[in-house]
Amino acid sequence: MTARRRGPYLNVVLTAVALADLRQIEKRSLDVLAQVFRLLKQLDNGTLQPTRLQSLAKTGDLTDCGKIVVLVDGEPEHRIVVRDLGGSFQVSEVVAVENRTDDLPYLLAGLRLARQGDPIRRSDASRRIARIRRALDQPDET
Amino acid sequence: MLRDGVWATAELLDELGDTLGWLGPGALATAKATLPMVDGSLVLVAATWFDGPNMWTSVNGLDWSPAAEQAALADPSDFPTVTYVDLERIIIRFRAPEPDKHTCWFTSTPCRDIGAQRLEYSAAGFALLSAPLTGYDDTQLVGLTNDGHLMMLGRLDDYSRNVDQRPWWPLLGTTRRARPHRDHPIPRRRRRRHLRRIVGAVRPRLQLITVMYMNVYTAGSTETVSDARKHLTGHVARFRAEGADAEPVVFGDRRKPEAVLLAFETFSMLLEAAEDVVIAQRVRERDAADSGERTSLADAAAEFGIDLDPL
Repeated sequence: MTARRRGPYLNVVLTAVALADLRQIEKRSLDVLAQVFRLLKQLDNGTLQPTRLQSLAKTGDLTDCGKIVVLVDGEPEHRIVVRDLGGSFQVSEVVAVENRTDDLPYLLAGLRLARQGDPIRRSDASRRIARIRRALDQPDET
Repeated sequence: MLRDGVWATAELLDELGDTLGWLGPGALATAKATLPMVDGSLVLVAATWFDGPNMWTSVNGLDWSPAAEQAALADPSDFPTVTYVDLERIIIRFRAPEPDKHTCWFTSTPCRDIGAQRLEYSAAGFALLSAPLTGYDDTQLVGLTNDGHLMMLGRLDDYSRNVDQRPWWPLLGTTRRARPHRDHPIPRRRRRRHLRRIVGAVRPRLQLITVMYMNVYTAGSTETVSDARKHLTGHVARFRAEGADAEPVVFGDRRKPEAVLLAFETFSMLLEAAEDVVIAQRVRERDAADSGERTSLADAAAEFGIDLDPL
């Protein structure tokens, strides 16, 4: 799974947790999964520019990250959060892919990138994530 | 007020110390080690004593013997003398007018109530005087639980003989009646049997019976399982009354802390905290487990069986 392969589509890499997100999405909707890969392919070849995120209290500083909107008819909106590794998202790392409800993907990104230095805010974000996932009837995984 | 609960406090034990001092140096230490103490809480303690064939019971300044009530109504000056000690709480100590025939008993009320108490006692003809505790005779100290049960805290039975040989027998027991013997004084022979039933004691000649009762949890104090079962109604009533402020009850086999009873409000608050702790721990584990492993887009697509080219 992790063996690197020479060839195209090397400007975008996925973290292990982002890959786990995709596995969950695969269970929920193959259409969303296909759309995610379609968008990531566009990101890889430079035809898609993510919207840069901000530094918010609830997520931490995500200014080096961007969001990609995933819209599929009949499916809930999802967001892909990518981290800019090479400037202007020429090389990106996918941090989180999730249902956008209550900013779940951004909360996840903030936690996964350890952008919450304050342990209280960190635990608060963890609680929010757990509650959102319960509301979405998703497995309680961070 | 009688249903507010029985709370043993340091002040009460200090008062008991006067009594327990008669029983040898270890008695007070044993009491302090075994009787839970909660500062600033209410103490309702009553004593019963034997006067000839009659058992007398008093709780919180009220003599429950009908004869005494009638006598007090007829002539208040015939009632026991009253002492009060102004501590954080007011402890009122009563002394029988004839120490060799009667015994002392004491009670306590919160400071805020002392004014009313003083008026009440004055109206009843009581004098608030300082007096030593003397003349114990076949005394029992009884607490009233918040579910209306009498709880025996201790009994001083003819302490003047063989003081040094007095064992301290920790026992447990309650009566099922809050006001026993009010109408039917028990003859001496039946009284002994009754006492054995009350305290569950199999030793008919116990010199001192101490019952350790608590309905609040304090650090270092744990109830037995049977205690917890016995006082469950009282615990629930306290939880209902105090809500999240109510102290939990820790209990277990042989007083080993194994389980906790606590108010539902407290439980609800703890749920969030527990959730916080569990999730935060999971996050830390996950962060620690992140080895920096990355998967290329091509490999990821291959894992899901997606061909990127036609997308």
